[in-house]
Amino acid sequence: MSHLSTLMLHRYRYGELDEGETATLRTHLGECERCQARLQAQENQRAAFELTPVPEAIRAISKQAENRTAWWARWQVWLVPALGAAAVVMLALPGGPSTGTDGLKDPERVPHERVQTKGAKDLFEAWLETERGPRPLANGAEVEPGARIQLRYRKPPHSWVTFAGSDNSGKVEVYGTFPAAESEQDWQTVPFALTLDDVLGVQNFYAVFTHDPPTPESVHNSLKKEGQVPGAETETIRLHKVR
Amino acid sequence: MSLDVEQLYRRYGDMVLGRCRSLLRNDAEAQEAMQEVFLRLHRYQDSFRGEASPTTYLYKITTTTCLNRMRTRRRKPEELYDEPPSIPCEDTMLTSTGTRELLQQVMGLADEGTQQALIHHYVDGMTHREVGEVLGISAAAVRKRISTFRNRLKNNPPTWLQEVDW
Repeated sequence: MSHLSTLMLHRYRYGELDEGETATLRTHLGECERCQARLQAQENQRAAFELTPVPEAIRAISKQAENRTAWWARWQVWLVPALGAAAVVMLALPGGPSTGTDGLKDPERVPHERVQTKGAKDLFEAWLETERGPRPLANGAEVEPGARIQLRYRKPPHSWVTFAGSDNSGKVEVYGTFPAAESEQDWQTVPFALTLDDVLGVQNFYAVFTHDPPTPESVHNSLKKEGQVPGAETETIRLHKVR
Repeated sequence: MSLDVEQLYRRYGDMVLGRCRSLLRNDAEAQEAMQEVFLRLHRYQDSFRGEASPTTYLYKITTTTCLNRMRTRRRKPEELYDEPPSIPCEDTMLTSTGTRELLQQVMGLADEGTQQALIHHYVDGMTHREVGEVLGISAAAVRKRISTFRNRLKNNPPTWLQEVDW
């Protein structure tokens, strides 16, 4: 590698790179003063930017879309899935104990776009519960242990959806299989919330859409081996747990 | 559900503004271009939602927005700017002077795709593969465009090319 591109440095700052890319980039930064200086220039620019107010034109656009979280009220009618006692990610009931934090490393830096998922568009997304209301999380977003996450998915043509998760250790947990369309709504809310445990690093969530209910073993083994399930549509969200 | 443009601005605004300053080299116009980028984002939010990398998508439309503005300048020579930005942008691979010289040459090309490829390669330091991923074309196509451009410069190599050491 000669030098890192300007875009790659931005993606690194915004937490968009995967583990392999991040490791490669950090190795290069450790050896290249020029790229270190370029990254520092971006960080200085960021610091200066944070001191400036949001332009009125930008605020005006945002005000047009304030009714966008009505679906959140549907959290009140979640179903209760069966849980594994040793869950790496704990499933939480609505109205359960609050973590007392919004789970964000930096709340102001969480973007509001939908999560891009593997091979498809706009099918599976993660939201973070905060004291100020739900916030959507970008793929690759940083969250803190104890953060409470709600997943949603667009109503698929499939009959069943299985949810699972995995973390840095490579361990895969299958949370359960549910009918894919519990309501007529275009967006379906996953019938449980997730409270992140304190194992730091990557946290993946999977939605596996199938026409027939799969066995937990088949989903577990396929996700562990390939990160997807053959014959099914697998959507993935990746978050990073950091303190 | 609409995108929260203000949240996106708070997260990515520094990158968009820095990019606008690098290419336009005028603070006031860079601010205008930055707002235009987020307005476009709001208008075309469906395409944004499907992007794997919000950063890459924003970077691309920021480049397009700046190029459009530079073309407008060419039609209005009395509005030409050539001021250094008040906050220098030092994250590019060319110096400010080199970037200005390259842009002057690039804006003389007819093909916008080639313009973008050259900027991403020489100003941003992207590899052919990275440029191809941003523009949605193959690395071979990028290589060909850049090679054709460089061949034209053989007899009279510009100053900025001496900065290219990667």
